[in-house]
Formats: sequence, structure tokens, C-alpha cells
Amino acid sequence: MRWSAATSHRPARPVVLAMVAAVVGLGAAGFGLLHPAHRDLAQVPPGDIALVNQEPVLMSDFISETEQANGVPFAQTTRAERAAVLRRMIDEELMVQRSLALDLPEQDTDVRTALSDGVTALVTAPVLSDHPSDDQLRAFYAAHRANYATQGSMAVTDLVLRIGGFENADQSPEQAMADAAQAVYELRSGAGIDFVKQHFAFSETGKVTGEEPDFAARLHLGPKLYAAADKLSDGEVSEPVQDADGVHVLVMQHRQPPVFTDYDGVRNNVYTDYVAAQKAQAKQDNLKFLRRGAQILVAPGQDE
Amino acid sequence: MSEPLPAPPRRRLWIGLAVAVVALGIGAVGYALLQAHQAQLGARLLAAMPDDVDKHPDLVRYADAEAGPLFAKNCSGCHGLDLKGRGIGAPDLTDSIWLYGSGVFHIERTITYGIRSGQKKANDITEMPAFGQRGQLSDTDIKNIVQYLLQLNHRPYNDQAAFLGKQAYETKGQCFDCHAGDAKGIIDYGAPDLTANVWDFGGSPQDLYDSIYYGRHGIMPAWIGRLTPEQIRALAVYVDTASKR
Repeated sequence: MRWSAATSHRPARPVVLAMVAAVVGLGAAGFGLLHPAHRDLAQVPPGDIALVNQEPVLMSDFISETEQANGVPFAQTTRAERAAVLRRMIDEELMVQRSLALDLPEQDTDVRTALSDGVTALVTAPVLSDHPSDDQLRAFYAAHRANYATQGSMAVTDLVLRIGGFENADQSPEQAMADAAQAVYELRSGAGIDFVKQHFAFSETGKVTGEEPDFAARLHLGPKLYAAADKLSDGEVSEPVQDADGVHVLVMQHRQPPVFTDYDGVRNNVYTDYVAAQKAQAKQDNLKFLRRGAQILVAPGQDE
Repeated sequence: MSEPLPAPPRRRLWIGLAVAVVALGIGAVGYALLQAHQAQLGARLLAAMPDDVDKHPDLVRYADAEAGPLFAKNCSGCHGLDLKGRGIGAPDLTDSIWLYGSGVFHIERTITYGIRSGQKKANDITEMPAFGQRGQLSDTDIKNIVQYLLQLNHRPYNDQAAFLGKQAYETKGQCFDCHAGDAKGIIDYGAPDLTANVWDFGGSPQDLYDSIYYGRHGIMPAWIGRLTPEQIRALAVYVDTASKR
């Protein structure tokens, strides 16, 4: 009487238990099938030829290196030949892992350079696929024409009227410019350099010694004075040039201007330089991108 | 002798629910088994030696099914959904001509590391120089070589110009260095066969002129790190299969 009363009051208990068991069992089975067990650490995954401290050595690389080492298709290589290649690859992987453990990228300049060059090669590779048009090359040539010229030379006398200091203690900049303008007038009228030196207290800087190639003259005169000298022909006198150390007047003794090579004469160089410039630009763009996402702290008082 | 009473409504609900759960479970197990089977096929595909995959039809079928959507998403932009290339330097993958070696292994290497991708293992031994733009060949030289190429491919050509073009090919242009003396190309360099009348950058006389004048520098990105090894293997099998149909 009690049993029948119980079943009549709880008719679904066996069904509920069966359902719970089914759900748990099926859930476990499904989970097991959908989530395979963790990779056996002692097992080489498919596609790899070896695992070295869990780092894979790719089967593809192994086949390629075996073929390269023996000069025949992989199928024709012997077991010993393959073993030799695999040993070398494993050795190399060990050395690479050791280099990382030793933090060589931070400590070895050669490693750092190789890593940096590797990134550059990756980011500049697409640049090479863009063929420049003739117009682009000609525009590049026009913008860099000085690079495609023979080296000129100049023998120039650089006179300076120093402002202040021992030689002209009381001279103002305005007075110095006025004196220099007068000196230029005298020189252009036929006066000699010695006269100007004595009369206006100019001195020779000696920056350019004898006949110098343009690059040397540019180096010695500095950009401002070189720009003024570059415009002069034999015997010409420049306008006064205000520079950091005083007012300069340049007298060109002899000028051999550079000879520019026309575009057709240097097409090969222009092409090479253009591609190099594009690669340099791609490298700079990549660095800008990296800097945008980087946190860079510079010590107080330091510039980069 | 009264008739048995029907099951209470609540009991019938529980039984219905139980049947539904069991059916759902059977479906889940079936799906899981299918997934496990697919995973097993994927592992077998990757474990097989690349050039042995075609000996296993089930692996080829699996690779084709896996690679189809991958190709459509990642490769068709250049090679076209039909794998025939889109005339922009991306070659037809359905023919039997391979610049860097045929077969699953070589195709897989190309997909993995690319062509002139900047990867050290990429195929990038050489490139076609811009002979005209660099001033190494004159306009006339190039036009003569184009006529020689037309002759090699049994297309209409100018006899005298082709004769001079052959001379330029063998001397001034040094074309033989990469394309071989018989113009059949050298796979080691990725230099194509110039007698097969298959042109990645177009085969019209003007296209041929442009290829010599401006040079060619086709690139293909490396997919290592962007696709899994299994996906790359599947794509290699897919492409290899397409080229053999």
C-alpha cells in the first residue's frame, strides 16, 4: 500500500534519472569526441619531422633541405643522407633555442642586425613588384640630377669681416655689411684682394685650399657659403654673405662646373636608385607604424 | 474490470522530454563522430608525404573540400575562382606549367613561403630585369626579340627582325642566361619556357615588349603563419589536382 502510494505520487522519478544519466553520458561522450585529448608530448605532430623541446622541425623544410643537400629528388635520397640532414636541422634548432636562452638578440650585434635586416626585407618586398613608369624615373632623375653629374671643382678665396672680437671690436653687424658691400664694389672694380684686406680689415679664412672638388669645398665652406660660391664663374665676386662668424665675400679664382649626364646615359643608375629610394621609404613607413604602437620612454634631458 | 486510466499529463510530458533529449544526444554524438573523422583525415593529410597524397583518394577528396572555401577567400583575388589567373601576373594554375616545380611538395613550398615575399625560404633567386628602362637593350633590340619570340611560338613574325632578335637573345640581352639557349626556361630560376606560348603577363607583341622593357617582378605573399599547415597542404593538393584535370 505504501509502495503503490509512493509510485502514484512520483511517477516520473525513473524517467528523470534516466534522462539525467543520458544527458551526462552523452555530454561526456560529445565533449570527448569534440575535444581530443592534449597532444601527447612524446608524439611528433603530422607535418613535422621532429620536435626539439616542443619546437617543430617542418617536414617540408626537411624534404627541401635534403634535396638541396644531395642534388636529387627526395625519393632518391638514402636513409643515411636523410638522417644526416635531420641531425643537422635538429642541431641548428638546438643552437637557435640556445641563442634565445642566451638572449642573443639583445646582446649580439650581428644577431640584431640580421633580425633588423630580416624585417626590412619583409616590408620592402612588395615595393619591388611595382614597376616605375618612365615618367616616374625621369621625375626622380630631375629631382636628383646632381647625383648623376661628374664632380666639379673650385679654387675660391673666402674673405671674412668678423664682427666684434679683436680685429673689429667696435663694428656693428650693419656697419660690417655696409663695409662688405663697399669691398665687393672695390673688388668688382678691379681692386686686389690685398687692398681689400688692408682697407676693410678682411681676413682670408683659408677654408678652401687650392683647387678642391665640389664635395670637399661644400664640406669646408658649409652649405650657405657653398651655395653662394656655386653660382660664381671665374673671377666673379659674390654678394656679402652673413654667416655665423661674420660677413663673407667670396672671390672665385677658378671654377670647373660639374657636367650633368643626360637621362639616357644613366638610366640604369636612375632605376637602381629609384628602387633603393622606394625601399628606404617603405622601411621608414614601417618604422613610423611601429613607433605609433610602441611605448618609448626616453630619459629626461635626452633627445633621439 | 474498469479500463486502465491514461497516464497523467505530467508523466507524458516527461517521457516526451526524455525522447527529445535522447534524440538530441544521438545527433550530437553523430556530429562529434563526424568531426572526429574529419580531424583524423586532416591529420592523415598532413602526415602523408606531400607527393604521396594523390595515392589516397579519400585524402584528396577531403583536401578539395577543405581547400575550396580557403582558395575562394585567400587566393581567388589574384588567381580567379576558376584558378585560371586574372591576367595580372598571377598564373593559370590549371595548366601543367609551373615556374617553381610541380607536384604537391613544390606547390606547398610556394604557398608556405611565397615568391619574392621577403621570406628567406621564398622562391626569389632572380627576376626579369627592366632591360629597356635600364638602357641595356634599345627599342629596336627589344622589338627584334619580340619577333624572335613570336617565331619560337609559331606565330606570325618578321623574318629579318626575328633573325636579329635571336642574335640579341644570345648576345647583348643575355636572355639565354635564365631562359636557356633553347628558350625553354630554367625552373631553378623560375624563368619561364618562352616556347610554350603561355604568358603570365600577356602574350601580345606589346605585352612581350613591355615585359622586356619594364622587366617583371611577380610576387606572391607567404602564407606561413596566416594559414595552418593543414590548410596549406589542402590548398596544395587542391591546386595540384586542378592542374591535372
